[in-house]
Amino acid sequence: MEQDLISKKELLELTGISYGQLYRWKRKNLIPEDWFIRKSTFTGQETFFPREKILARIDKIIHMKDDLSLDELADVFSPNLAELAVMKEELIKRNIVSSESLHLYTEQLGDAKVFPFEKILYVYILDQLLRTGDISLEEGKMLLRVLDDHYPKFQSKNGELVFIRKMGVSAFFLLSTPADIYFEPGVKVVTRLNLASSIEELKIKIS
Amino acid sequence: MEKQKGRDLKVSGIANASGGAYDKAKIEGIGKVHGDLDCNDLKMDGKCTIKGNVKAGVADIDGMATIAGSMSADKLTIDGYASIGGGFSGEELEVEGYLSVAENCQAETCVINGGVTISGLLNAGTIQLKLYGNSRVKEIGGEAIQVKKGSKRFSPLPTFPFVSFTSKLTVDTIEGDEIYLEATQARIVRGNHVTIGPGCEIERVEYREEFQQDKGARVGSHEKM
Repeated sequence: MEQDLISKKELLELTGISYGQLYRWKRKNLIPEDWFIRKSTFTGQETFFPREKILARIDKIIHMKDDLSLDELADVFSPNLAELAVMKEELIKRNIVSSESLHLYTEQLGDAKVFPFEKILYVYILDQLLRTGDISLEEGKMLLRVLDDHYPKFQSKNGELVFIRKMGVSAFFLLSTPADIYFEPGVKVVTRLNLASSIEELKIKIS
Repeated sequence: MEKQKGRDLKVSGIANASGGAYDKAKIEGIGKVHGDLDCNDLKMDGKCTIKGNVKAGVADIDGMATIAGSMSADKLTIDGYASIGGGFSGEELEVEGYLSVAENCQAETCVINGGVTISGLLNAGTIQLKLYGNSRVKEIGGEAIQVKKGSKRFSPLPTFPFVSFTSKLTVDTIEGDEIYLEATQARIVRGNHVTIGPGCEIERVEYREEFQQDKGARVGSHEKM
């Protein structure tokens, strides 16, 4: 899979940030190390970035840096799960997840008064996929089982959720990224979800 | 980072110690620490070897230190010679003498009087490098970058008769906002305000706002971006 890349020079021209800012954000872990891709060009080795990811990230940093300090921003972008919990009623009231998804979750994995961040993430991912219509309720149960069984093993690593269908049979995968995955032609990849960006979205929603 | 109070490590003479978490760690003489060391306050005098990673609040190295793994410290001061087998990350880095880092080195402020060898990226908000002897860095990135040639008289390194040291920095890429360079050999320098001082050999300069070149500098090509 050939990624769409952007060179460092082009990135700075496009966003108007300086080299100093870019290096500062890198030091503060606002831009992950594995986005810095080195490639040989005719002028020597140059640095490239995954175009969409880096542009979205820089846009977010620029818009949020007035309200949050760089260290607080780093927490938002970190793939580490935040140490926070939200009351069950609040999840519905603040429209973080839908009551249908939450109901499915409690049915499968048990009820609780207070939801820690990790559990909210599961419901949030479920909620998103149900909303887009990518998965059915039955598949939602499968998704919860995958996340509950295997997601804790990821800890601070970045991961991706892949959902495929073939001949009416569906399956979920959890990959640690960066990784390449290839399927035979009969497989339909229904959805690929970057867990780090889901975590980011959710952290912004909750805080 | 609050470690157990009163649990200190003290090594003096010729001795070995095991790693661990301490409040204060003091190593004098010829000391060897086997394993990772984690402490609030680290002081090394003499010749010390740590066979593991080091995490410290404030670290002070006098003499010669070899760290096999990576190191992180809020403030690291080196008087003498230090070699880090992994990367370094911290807030303040101050070197009088020589520092070698095998991977990336990052800090908010980095002041070096002497020489460095960094095989990865040197990334710091402010970099002040005063050259006494040869330095080699793969890449430098930051906000304010200043490289100057130190005067011979105040060299912190020992001077030997009949041996002449050249003071030069060799680097592939330098990228920053404000850049001032002397005695630097680089492939490419990119920045907003770039000043190339005496003794430099730069293949290419790319700048956004301002570019100045000393008579005693050689610049292959320069271009306003």
